[in-house]
Amino acid sequence: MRSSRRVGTALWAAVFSLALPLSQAHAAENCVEFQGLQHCGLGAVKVSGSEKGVRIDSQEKEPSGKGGVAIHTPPAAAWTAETQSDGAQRNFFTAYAEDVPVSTSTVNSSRESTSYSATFTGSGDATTYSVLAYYNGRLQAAVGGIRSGDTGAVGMMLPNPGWTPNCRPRTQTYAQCESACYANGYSNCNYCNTPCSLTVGFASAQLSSACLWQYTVAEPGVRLPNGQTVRADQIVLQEEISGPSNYPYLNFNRIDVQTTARSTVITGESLVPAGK
Amino acid sequence: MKASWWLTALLLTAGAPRQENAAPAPGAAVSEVPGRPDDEALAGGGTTVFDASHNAYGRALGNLAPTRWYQMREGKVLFMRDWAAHEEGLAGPLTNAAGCGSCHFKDGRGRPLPDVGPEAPLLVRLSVPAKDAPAGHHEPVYGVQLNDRGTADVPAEGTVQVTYTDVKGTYADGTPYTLRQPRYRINQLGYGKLAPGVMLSPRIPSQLFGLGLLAAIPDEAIHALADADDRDGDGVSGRPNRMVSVHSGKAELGRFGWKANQPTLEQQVASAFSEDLGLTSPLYPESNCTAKQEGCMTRVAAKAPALSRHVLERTTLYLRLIGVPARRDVLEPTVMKGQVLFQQAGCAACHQREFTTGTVEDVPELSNQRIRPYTDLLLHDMGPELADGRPDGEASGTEWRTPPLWGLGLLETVNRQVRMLHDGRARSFEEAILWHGGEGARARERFKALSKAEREALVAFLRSL
Repeated sequence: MRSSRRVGTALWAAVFSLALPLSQAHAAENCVEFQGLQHCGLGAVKVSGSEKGVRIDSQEKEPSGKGGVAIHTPPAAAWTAETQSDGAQRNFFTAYAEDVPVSTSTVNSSRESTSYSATFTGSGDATTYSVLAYYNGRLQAAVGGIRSGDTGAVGMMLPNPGWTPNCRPRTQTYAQCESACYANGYSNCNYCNTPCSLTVGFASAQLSSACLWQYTVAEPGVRLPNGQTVRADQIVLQEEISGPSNYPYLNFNRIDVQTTARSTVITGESLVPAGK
Repeated sequence: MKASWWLTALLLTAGAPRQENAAPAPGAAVSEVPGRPDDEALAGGGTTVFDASHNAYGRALGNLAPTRWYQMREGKVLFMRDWAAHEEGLAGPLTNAAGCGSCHFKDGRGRPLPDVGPEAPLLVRLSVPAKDAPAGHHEPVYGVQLNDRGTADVPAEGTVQVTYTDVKGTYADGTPYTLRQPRYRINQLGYGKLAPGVMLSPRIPSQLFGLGLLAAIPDEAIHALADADDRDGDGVSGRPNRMVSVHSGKAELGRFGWKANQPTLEQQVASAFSEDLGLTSPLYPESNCTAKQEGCMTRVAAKAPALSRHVLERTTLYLRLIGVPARRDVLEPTVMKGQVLFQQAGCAACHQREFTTGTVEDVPELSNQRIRPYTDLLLHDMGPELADGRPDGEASGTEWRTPPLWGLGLLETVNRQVRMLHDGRARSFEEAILWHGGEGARARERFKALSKAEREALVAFLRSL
């Protein structure tokens, strides 16, 4: 389990280059480059860039969730991004390998909770995944056999004084945060000064071809599909690979980020290329 | 009511005595699908994978031992590697692609047409007639294959241009159809004119699933289907090709390649590495440069084989571990009717439905599997209509190996293009059938005589494979 978390530093053994040159594949309009990656608008959005990041502004009155950016990468083993946005929202992430979607993840944030789910295709419709919950880098709990598409984890604010959040959930205003802080009996409410960002990562494990999504969790408590609630600050949704009939994905070359938020800024991004 | 009739026929025949590898005489009325076991969807027996998506051609065997998964992944890494981008510049300098996956997109045929142009990419095999060799000799300057990629200092050998002429015809019911007759031209020759009388054979990539199973069919099962002198008088002969095995040095039954010109999968892989990618190996230690290509020869002079035995074995193993996609819509009435028509038209005389593999010691998953590839792996004279005029091994210029039909119904899903026959001239199952000549002519004419609904049913059956 620990190895699956070192996606930011792992080096992979294979090189794979089938992707069309980026300049050939994407129109210049509505694309910006950030951290060496092209971010091209999807749906009715305006995409703008600066040194600080990529800003995605929905042009819809009621954002449908189809707007976002397609992030084109060279053959990659791992990708992480930090995004900032406010309000209740749904975020949809799609990873592509060999030019087709291979895995998705949905983060559904409401005032009270955030749910995390994922789909994987390594074993077709029968694919299952595990969810692993970590706190300060240590595994707290794990549940396997979750059907692709089902919710894997729910982040929750719990009335536990020892479980003070680290930051203000994106779905809460400062006032709402303070109110929730008092209601839950947290030891202090300074965390309300720091808005949470959503940190998401995607990786394709080298040895097993298992795909995984990794999130920092804003809420201090995480409820797992088996009913267990643990303290966690990070979760990993990892595909379960058995072997028979599995599809050997080697890397990925595109991540789509779509959201119902009116504005989202991708402020930090990193990529681990697929190894040679 | 009709649907229930077919289901009843299925139930009645499920327990009927089966005659393996027996097809009714072409033209004979067949009132029910012969020998339909309950596992009709299991095209690859226990190795079958149940996926009809864009990944259908690339999944691991359905019965893969879990411990073997990492071997498959390792093999795919090699298969997908960009050998031209490697730091040591292993590939070439004369090639047709950067890596296996460049042409065998998603372990199938070519890349989607929008990516590559209006037609499927072709490679062209070359040879010149020779009195001392029925199969001819390599073209003296360009070798056995036209390499259309070079490097900055080693020019490519040339490019292939294909143009088409419409060939119109009508079915018996008056419905018109149009085929397209290809003409090939080699342009931008990098090393002077081609030799007089050069024979060209254009080829599209083949799909790669099920190769381990085909390799596991006992030789005697293939030989049993041969009828070189057409002793049964059905108009279909069928004979094996034989090629020298690099391993044994002896002529062995060929079963891989458009003309069954490779006896083993490893030899097929090694030859593709050599001729398509310019990569030498223990099986093919000589580069694909010819003596007249001095720049090329200089680049590859006196080097140990680029690929190790381990790389060859692992790449070959990867191909052996790719599963066959299951048939779909097996019990659909139209599909079942189409299967009967397939038999009646005589298609099964060459597109043999079933084999049982032998014992495979190093990959027991492939052993003793009842498989349905719809090929006899034999050479058949397909007439002037499909002739390339280029002998290969013991195959003449009009003979082709019966291609397996399993999985072809998913071509459009996986490769987002449909190009059939050796040179991709056929854009549909119908066109592929209509091009059948020689030994396939009778089947073609029976197909043309069918009603529209019957033709559609037969095609629906092919799509279910």
